[in-house]
Amino acid sequence: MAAAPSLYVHVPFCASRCSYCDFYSSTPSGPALESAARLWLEAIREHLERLEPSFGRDGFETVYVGGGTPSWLPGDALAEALRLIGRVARSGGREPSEWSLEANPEDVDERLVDTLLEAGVTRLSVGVQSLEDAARRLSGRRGSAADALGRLEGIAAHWPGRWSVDLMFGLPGQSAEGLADDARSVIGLGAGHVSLYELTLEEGAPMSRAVESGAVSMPDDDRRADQYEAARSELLAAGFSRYEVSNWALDGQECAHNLRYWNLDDWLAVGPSGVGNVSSGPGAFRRAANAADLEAYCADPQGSVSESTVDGKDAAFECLMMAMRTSRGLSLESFERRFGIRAVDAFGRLHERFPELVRLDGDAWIATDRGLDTLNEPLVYAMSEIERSWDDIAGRSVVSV
Amino acid sequence: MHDIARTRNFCIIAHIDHGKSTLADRFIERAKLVDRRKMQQQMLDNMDIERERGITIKSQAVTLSYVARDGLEYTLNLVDTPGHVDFSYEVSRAISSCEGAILLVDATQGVEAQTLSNMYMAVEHDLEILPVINKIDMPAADVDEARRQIDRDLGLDGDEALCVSAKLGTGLDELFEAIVARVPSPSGSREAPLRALIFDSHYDPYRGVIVHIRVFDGSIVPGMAIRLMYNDAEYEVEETGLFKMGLVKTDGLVAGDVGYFIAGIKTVSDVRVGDTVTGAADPVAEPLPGFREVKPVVYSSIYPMDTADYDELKVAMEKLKLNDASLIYEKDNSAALGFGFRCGFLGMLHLEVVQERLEREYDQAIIMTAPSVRYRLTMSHGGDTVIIDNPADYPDPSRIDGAEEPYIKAQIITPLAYIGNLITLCINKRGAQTGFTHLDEKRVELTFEMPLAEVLFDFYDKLKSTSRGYASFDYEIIDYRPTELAKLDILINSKPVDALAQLVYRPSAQERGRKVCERLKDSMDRQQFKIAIQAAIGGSIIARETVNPVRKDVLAKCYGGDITRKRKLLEKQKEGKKRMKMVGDVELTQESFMAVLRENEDDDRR
Repeated sequence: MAAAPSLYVHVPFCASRCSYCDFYSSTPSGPALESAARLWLEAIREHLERLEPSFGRDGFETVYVGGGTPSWLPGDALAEALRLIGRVARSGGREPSEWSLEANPEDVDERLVDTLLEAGVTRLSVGVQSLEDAARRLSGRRGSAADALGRLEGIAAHWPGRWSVDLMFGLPGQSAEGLADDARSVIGLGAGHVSLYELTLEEGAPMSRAVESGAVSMPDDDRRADQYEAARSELLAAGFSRYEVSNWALDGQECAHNLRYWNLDDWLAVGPSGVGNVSSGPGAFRRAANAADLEAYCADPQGSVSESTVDGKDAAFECLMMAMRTSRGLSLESFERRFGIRAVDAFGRLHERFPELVRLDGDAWIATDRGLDTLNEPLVYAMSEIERSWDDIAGRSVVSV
Repeated sequence: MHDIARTRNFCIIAHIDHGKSTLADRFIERAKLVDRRKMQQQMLDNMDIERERGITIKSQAVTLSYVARDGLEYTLNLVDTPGHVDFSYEVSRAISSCEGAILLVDATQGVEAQTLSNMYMAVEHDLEILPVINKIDMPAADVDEARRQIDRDLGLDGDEALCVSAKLGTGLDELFEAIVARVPSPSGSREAPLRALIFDSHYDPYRGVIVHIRVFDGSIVPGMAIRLMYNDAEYEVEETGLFKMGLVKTDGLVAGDVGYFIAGIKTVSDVRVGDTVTGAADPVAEPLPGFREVKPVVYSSIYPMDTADYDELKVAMEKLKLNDASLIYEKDNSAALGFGFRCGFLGMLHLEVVQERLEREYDQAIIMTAPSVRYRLTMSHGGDTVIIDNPADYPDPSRIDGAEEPYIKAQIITPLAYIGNLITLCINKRGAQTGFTHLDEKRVELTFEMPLAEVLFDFYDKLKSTSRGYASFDYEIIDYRPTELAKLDILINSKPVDALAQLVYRPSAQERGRKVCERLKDSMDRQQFKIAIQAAIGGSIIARETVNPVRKDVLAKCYGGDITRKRKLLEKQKEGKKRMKMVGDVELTQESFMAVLRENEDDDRR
């Protein structure tokens, strides 16, 4: 079967806002949530129908339902959304190789598990973030650490598929010991995948304002790095490997959907603020960003999309930026096939310029452990290089064609 | 031609922030020179920086027509003076162009240090002084107290003081009438040989230098050959005119007039503020008194962030110089920063203004080195005197017999409550108290003699924070006195960085070195390797800090939805790199160089 695109579905609802978050989401509840969820459901239905003629005939290779908090959708709306998504994903008789859904531990109960299994969801991504009460409180997470842990035990007991846990470090109130405990707990419960993120203070997120005003203080560089290293030791000891900057998995438990992002393979996105990306000719992508506004999106899903083309040096750089995050690195050969230029001509000889950060392994540039931790420096260097070299090499590649 | 008897030349003098420029705006508005809708705040402040900071840097003039209650039309020439102590010579020249001065006192602040020094200056020039109390609309206004202070501190008649609100325009009619009634008309003779005072000049890219003058005697007309007496240079006058809301051509200027002339002069540096203009054919024997060559008191080097931009910076400096005669500079060369310029400034404000204009008007990314005063060294062999203002020129200490540094007389007026703190501040700055005068039961005037170098960095800010903004400050340079001087070297990974070196008072060197190291550390981004920052005098290290290698520098997450945004984030970082300076293999930010500029903002916060 020919390669099918992947599908991302954005669910823009949460029970409450976490103070560090800047993803698009709103927090209606009760009847307001019921009716908003309906509207959203009809909108993604319409959007998927519109997309079907161009992409949907062969189904989708992988599906990821993220948010927001997909598990916060009212039961009926969730079941119906999943039926709809399942139907398009399986067009042409395909069975998606992976179907993930994000859930908050507080929402996971037997009923949810049944709904997901019935729909064909294969992988659960559980947003825990921290099992330290102080950090949970300061970041506005629902429920206590003990509650969250209890729910995770339930998932371990009742969820038969693969599951992943999101952990953060660098949150106010976290400690290195806490991170080690967090990692040990989720590993002990049987999570086969851990996403370990550093807190990024996003402009506009309430936490940024709290930090600015001095109400909350951030752990300094060294404490953040200590926390990361504490979690990392636990993961390594348990046999996890770091297959992307922030993602750790046991063998075979990598997230296939996310790997497609890092490889810049084709995917479509429905739901407000979702962004799709499909190849549009050699070395170029068409990027479709849905309105990051529930009302605007629901009024006219397709019409709310702003499209842009990413090509030339921007596309080439993105390819490097994404690929270098993974343990596979950037295949120099496939880069050349994709863009018609040699990566070393475009970005300079990264493995020689940064021998401690990037190694040349067969035909690929692969970031070392330290390289994955400090990837910005070689990337920024590569960006300056391609800006300098681009006109020259792009001209040459046209001539050689 | 107008009647000299109905001309009034006056300036407004005040402590900084007492509302000089706002009052000037009201005058212009009243004279209907400019439509209210087109009125920008502080019309006479031409530079963005002047408007933004609310500080007048250059003297400006404007000619207004006013029909007084006696039914006659008067010509009022208003000369707006700079409001900062850095520019006190310019103020003195503006004052000497006038017969009268409005002495503006803020009703919420009362008489402050500059109020006093400006008044003395006006008295020295025999000006008729009109005390005016401003900001009477403010809730904190205390008009009676202001009157008392005018009485007591200034020896003027407080009861005669007019009350205005420059902001609201109240009390202006009385003020106009008072100017007409009390400021004497000019006394010169039209028939006498030309004698005019240059009180300012500015550069116009199309017309060259426009010289601002007050004519005391004789007349100046287009076609006439004139001589600038100090420079001993002759020019032919091309145009004369008045300052309205722009330049308005006239057939000439005569005794008593304030206006401008254009004479094919190429740069403002060919024109000295305070010089006398006379006729080449019939020159006066003596120039007008009071001329002084303006000498910089603060020196610093300016380098382009990117050494490749030196030529661009050079062009920018040349353009800036066209309009700023007090800026002096020469080519300079640093091992760390390449080619740049050693510059002299009238004071720290002047330095900051030049820095901001280079960055904003000329779009230059620059680095400035630590400001320095000019030191006098006596050498051991032969007793030669060497003058240095640049750490790079500091000779082998074993050859130095002695050093001297410039001292100022600082005058501080403060409410009693802050005396203790202010005296401590001044003593910490090596000040010696020379005077203590009770102005009234609540306020005192303190005078200190202290090294100029000590007030360069943060003295003014500290004075303000120590006194909750109530103390005011003025100073003049008095003389040179013996000092203990040392050159503080800063080493990064064991290599001295010449652009970070500075000349310091030896007994404070240790503390200063420690602070500079700390601030450098805070200003630096972590890099792939460990960085040692050291301060040294001669060969010995007196302070040290370490910047540990970066441990994490990567975008935490990057998924399908934010690729474009993440690419842009890296683009921003890349742009940031352009503002980094490689010193050896260490990247320094612009802030790193600024770290040695500002002494200790942190101390104030502590």
